[in-house]
Amino acid sequence: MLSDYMLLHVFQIHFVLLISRQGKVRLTKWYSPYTQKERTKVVRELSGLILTRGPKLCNFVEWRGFKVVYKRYASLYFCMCINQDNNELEILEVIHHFVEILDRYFGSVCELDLIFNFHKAYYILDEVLIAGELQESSKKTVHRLIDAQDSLVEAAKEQASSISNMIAQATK
Amino acid sequence: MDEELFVVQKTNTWAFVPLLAGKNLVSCKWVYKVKTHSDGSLEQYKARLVAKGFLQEYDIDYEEIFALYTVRIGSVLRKSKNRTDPNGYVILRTRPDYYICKTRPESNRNNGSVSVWDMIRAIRDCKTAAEERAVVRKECAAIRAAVDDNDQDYSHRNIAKLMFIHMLGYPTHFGQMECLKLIASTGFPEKRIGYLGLMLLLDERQEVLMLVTNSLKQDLNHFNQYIVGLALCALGNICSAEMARDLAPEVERLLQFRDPNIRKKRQSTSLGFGGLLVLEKGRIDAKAALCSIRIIKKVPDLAEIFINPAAALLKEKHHGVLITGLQLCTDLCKVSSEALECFRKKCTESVVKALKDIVSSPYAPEYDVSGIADPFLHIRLLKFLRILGQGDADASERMNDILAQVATKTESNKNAGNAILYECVETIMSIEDSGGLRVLAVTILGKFLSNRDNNIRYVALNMLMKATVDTQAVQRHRATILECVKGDTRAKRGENMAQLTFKKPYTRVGLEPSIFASPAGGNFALAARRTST
Repeated sequence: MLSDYMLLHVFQIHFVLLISRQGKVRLTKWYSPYTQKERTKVVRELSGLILTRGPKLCNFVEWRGFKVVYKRYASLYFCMCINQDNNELEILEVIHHFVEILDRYFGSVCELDLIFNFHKAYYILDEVLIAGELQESSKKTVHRLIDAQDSLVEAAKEQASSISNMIAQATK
Repeated sequence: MDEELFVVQKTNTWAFVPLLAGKNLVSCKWVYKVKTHSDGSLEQYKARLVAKGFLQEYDIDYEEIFALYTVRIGSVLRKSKNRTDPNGYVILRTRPDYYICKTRPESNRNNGSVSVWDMIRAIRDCKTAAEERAVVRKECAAIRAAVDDNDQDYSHRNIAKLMFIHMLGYPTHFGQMECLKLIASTGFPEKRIGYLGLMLLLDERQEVLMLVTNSLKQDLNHFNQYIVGLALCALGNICSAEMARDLAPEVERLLQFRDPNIRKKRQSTSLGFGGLLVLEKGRIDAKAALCSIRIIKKVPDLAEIFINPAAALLKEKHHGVLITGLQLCTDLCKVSSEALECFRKKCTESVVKALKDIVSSPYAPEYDVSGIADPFLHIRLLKFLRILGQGDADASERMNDILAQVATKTESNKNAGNAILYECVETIMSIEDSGGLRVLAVTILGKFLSNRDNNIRYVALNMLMKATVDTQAVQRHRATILECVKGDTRAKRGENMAQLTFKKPYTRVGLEPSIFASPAGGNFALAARRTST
């Protein structure tokens, strides 16, 4: 029931999915077009498939003609869906790359970090992957970019608060 | 313990506030203690924050109970020090006029709008699904009301909330216009959250998306490189075919821009274009043959404008740019044979050279993954070589040496190294025949098969099945493969293998010819048969 044109093998990674051991979604990013309905279905199907797998089994699941590469870190499963002919071992490295960046950003990352700062996790993912392709292999560069953008936000906030202070002073 | 500490911080039990002028600052100190069990083994580490009592004035704050502060909050603050508070001070206020800590965030006074964290916490506190629905419904109602009132103050917060609600699987379409508004505003923070919302809440099929084209166009020409980056990222992730056509010139212009950071992003975005063009073709094909004529005309046109900039990217030294450049070239080759010819002529040398450089590059901490310099770049290079070498004996000839070098020199004790070897094997199998290399490749696969890691065995079996391998070479590994197959059909461990290789376990089937008939066994059977012929 997935759209036919997905089968054209367009993107390397079709989607990224983070699910907790309880099956709660922590982050999703869809690079290939799925409707909302399909998305929920995919999540349900995959969490049923992946969460029940034994620890000794390999990290790849064949699913609907695609492959889902997953890796478990503490209570979180990081899953990425790829085509049959992609390099699964590399995707494992991509996942690890992403996790390491998260880890350094949050300072030993845990699930709660990703829950309460989900937007940050998305920002980081956007620096790592675009259109389902790896964008940057240097963790340092990613950090530099994220930090720069965070400080831009901070600066804008400070400016805003100083302006509102000024207004408050003036209208006193 | 960490988790608990996080909750305290994340839920805004504590917050940073600016020190009020003329007020006193009570400084604090960390006390660390290692608790042990009676037998001396480690029980836990404790970290306590204590206020320095001697700074208090008797009449004002002596009676304050500082035990409050000694919440085991050590690691929280140590972490936050790096990011949130430049001075490393935790500022606590227990009384409104005095010092330093705040127990609740300010948000509650804002006519019912609570902070994102509060909402998340409220949702997490729900015991049942019904409760959760109720909380979400209430929030959604508040956000809808804010949208209707055109309340600008909290729209970024509302979008953030909606993203979370969306992640839980509730409908959030009413926030889409709000995203567009945020994107159209001038500030970076608003744009940042707006684009994130756009990517999460919308997908490329929604009509609303067309409305953002103009904002995107403006942002692509923005002087702030981060804003350009945001726009490109959004474009790369969700743009539709129409948008691709409208904005392709902008992206192409940006591709030739000087600044490497932006360029890289642009680059990957145009990759999205390449992809979408194919996507679109597929769509139209499915609809009617009439349209496809038009599309076939369109597709090569758009691919063409990217060929030259893409080739230029391959000369780049910066890894990120190079990686995305290679990816773009690979995809261009897939959609346009013209591009393939062009790259084959111009770029084979430089790609081979780039691979040589990276293989023999010295240790670089920035790109190092378990002792290998940038496996991602390795893999992209090998992939592109595969495309170039396929069906072209001359190009294949030129890459022989380096492939042999990669195949023999790469360390195979870590996943990163194995990923490279795997890619290398695939490239060797796909390019024009060179007997020696193929034998080398099969030897690598043989080693993979005897690896204890299931992942590695899985990819090796897959590769043996799909590649057209010289039977002689496979013959030498017959024993290993047969052992895998036998292991698969009998032992418990083998059952795992079967499960991981195929969708159904076929433990019962044994090795008799019947398994060749079953679809699950087919793959394996093929590998097995190859060894026995």
